[in-house]
Amino acid sequence: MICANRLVAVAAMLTLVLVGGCANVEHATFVTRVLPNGVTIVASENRGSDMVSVHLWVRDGALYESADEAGTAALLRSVMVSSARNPILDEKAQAFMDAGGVVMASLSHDFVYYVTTCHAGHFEEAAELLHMGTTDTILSDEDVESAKQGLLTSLDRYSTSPREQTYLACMKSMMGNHPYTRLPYGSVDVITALTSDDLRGRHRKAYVGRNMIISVAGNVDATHAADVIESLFGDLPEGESAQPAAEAIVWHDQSSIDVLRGQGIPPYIIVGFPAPSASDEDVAAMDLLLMLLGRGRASRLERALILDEELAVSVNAGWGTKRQPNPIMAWVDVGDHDVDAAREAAVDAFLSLADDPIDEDDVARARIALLTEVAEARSGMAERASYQGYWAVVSGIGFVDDYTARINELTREDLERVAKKYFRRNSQSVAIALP
Amino acid sequence: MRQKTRTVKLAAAAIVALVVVAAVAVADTRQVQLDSGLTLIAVADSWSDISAVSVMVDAGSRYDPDERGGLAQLTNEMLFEGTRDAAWEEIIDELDRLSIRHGALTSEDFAELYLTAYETEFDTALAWLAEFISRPAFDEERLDLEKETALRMLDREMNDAFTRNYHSLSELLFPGHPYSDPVLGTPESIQAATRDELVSFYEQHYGAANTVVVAVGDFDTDETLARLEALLADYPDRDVARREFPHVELEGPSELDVYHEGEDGFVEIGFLGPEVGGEDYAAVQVMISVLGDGSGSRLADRFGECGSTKLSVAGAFVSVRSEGIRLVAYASSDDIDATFHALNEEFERIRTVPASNVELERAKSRIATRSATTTETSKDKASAIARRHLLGLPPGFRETYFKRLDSVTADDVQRVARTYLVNPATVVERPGKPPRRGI
Repeated sequence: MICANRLVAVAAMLTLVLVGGCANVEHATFVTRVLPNGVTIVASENRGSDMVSVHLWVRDGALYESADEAGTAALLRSVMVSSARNPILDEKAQAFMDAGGVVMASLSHDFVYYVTTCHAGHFEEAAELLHMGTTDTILSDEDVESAKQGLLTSLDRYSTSPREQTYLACMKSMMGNHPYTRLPYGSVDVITALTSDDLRGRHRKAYVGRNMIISVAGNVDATHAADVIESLFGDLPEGESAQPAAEAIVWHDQSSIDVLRGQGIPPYIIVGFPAPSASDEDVAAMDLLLMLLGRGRASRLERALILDEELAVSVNAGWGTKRQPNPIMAWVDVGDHDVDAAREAAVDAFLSLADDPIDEDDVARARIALLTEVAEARSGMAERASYQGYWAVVSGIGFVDDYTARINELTREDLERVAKKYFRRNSQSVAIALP
Repeated sequence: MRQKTRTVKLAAAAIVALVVVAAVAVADTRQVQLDSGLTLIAVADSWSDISAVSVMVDAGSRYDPDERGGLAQLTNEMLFEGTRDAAWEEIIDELDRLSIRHGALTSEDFAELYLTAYETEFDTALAWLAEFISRPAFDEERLDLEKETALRMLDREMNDAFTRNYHSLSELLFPGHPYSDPVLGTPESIQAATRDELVSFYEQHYGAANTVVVAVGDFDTDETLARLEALLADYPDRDVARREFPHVELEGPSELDVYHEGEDGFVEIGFLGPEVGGEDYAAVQVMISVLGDGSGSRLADRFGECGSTKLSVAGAFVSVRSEGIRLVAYASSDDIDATFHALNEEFERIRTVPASNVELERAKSRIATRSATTTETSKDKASAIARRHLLGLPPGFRETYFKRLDSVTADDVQRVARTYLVNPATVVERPGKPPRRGI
């Protein structure tokens, strides 16, 4: 589940306009390059920081897994980062971290990514470590078993969380058995049965040039950064592009209410409505609608549930923009208040955007909120590299400035059109957790 | 690759230490001092779309009157809570409408307000900052709410072993000095604070001569300085209260044993350090890093091998003060006496066993990395510059510091260890009840 806090950052990572036909575009401070083996490089120079961050994104994750292989990408990621599987690699990683560098990795449904961040003076080491760590396939059975235990613990924690179950219930009502309705960590049965050979097989298939995006941001010359990355990753096998395990969902009118009960669960509501994919032309307008719904004191949800009426303890809205369409949601902590009244108010907050004219002042407020979030999401070099890599992997190479321009060009009419398209009374999905 | 598995707790004080030396490669910096004495600094940073302004005042908790701890903190926080022309609700709605972020930070030395904004809204942010700092209302109802917030924060601090014992350690390290008192005050002093006292504190300590305003962003520096000068025309030009603080000298080691309900023990050991920016500053930073700054440091290696499975933290850091540095090592363990012994052995070892080249390089690299990490944003850059100014550090301090850092040798590390790792102040928190004494 994408929690509300994370969504603040993720939702701010906005879509990019595809650079149609431009495989190699070079500027003084921003370089994109597609290597012959398919590896995509996005490098941006920023002399306002002394840091550099290098991200490797792989199109591997739940979206690309059938149910009977769900968790392979997650386990492979765990093995790649969690074990001392190669003494030379381990020594390099330890020295890198001892010198103040940071190594981390994470995943979502659409991707797995690996990160090295350090002082800009160590850029080459960061890039080499990333290359070595993600291309080395020494995986012992002990490493795999150890990683399994960690992953299964995480899986247990999430799958028994009442809030996670509420979220998944809402997702399943909207998307059926689409991979987005599964936890990105996979399933217990699949993970338990996986072997080191299975993981090596996945590595051979997924960690190939056509599935890789490498994003660099920091106090380095962008062209030099791209050259270094090319020298390291240019020899990777090209491989095949990963194909989603399911077709993108086509939203149909359908409404649902699921009620889950459990001991000790505080009353909690999730409201979901359809939303577009990361590369859809409506994505910028939907991001602005998200601001109108759930950012700040003047937002529809805050006013309806907290300020004008005391119907909830807290409310958040988020949209995990993904490669395929994914719902926009509101999370409501009801506390001691009336659950039905809170649910109606939350749903009405969405519908009001489609049913009533949107005020120009509201549009201006949403616009500056979104521009601020985009700018804040790129303020540190790790965040900036993440921003670039994220959008390249879910949408394609593009330019942030284009997106800023798109935000500025949107009109009230655009927002009303998109709200009417997605926020319909008969397309709402609600999941309620009750004690 | 391997994920970082050891966690080193970095308290705010540690970060503060490094931001003093951190700054970025800024192309265009302009500074003016107005006739009132107010210093304005504008720094052009074309790499960020977010601009920041920080106003820092030499009005930290060391100026709290006796028995009135927390007054500086409450005064600083209340500057946001309404002005003579705008109620809190109006302010918060306006800042929210424009996505202008704001915050206040109070330390023993300084009080800081800051605002950040998207570049198109920065002029409005500057105008609000001038209002906050020049025309606070100190509304009674908002003060009551602010006091509740302060009490909650204090409660949280008292539930955290590090902070709880840090206060005790401060009392041992700074006897009779205001640094021995917590910034937040005590429950009694917070509850007793009145509007009149806050107004009085503001009138005594907020003045042009002890204030610096730093703006960082993608703007024209001359225009920004002109705008700040116009906006801050009402900022009081008055004789701010000055105070002589006693020079602290410890006559010998000191120790405090405390007991708490819990399973693990906790030990915190502190020393007095040199002046910030002085000759020994860089060498002390390297010494601390060799000793206890995260993975690869001597303390981390030592405790990683001591077999105490419950050991959660081992580290050392500095706390920057206008009158010196505090060096602190701390650890928690299920065998606190063994941990205490091991810490002291490491203090002795750094005095006697020279740092290797690998240790020196690791330490210097970590210091440079952390200083870069802590000044990535416009806000952090503004705060670092403001702090440096109020500490009286020269404009070229950063360059000088890194030159000195680069030239620190193993002999320097040993020398400063022998000089400053003396007269330890120790707080040992033990699980259980205190032993009964006497008959």
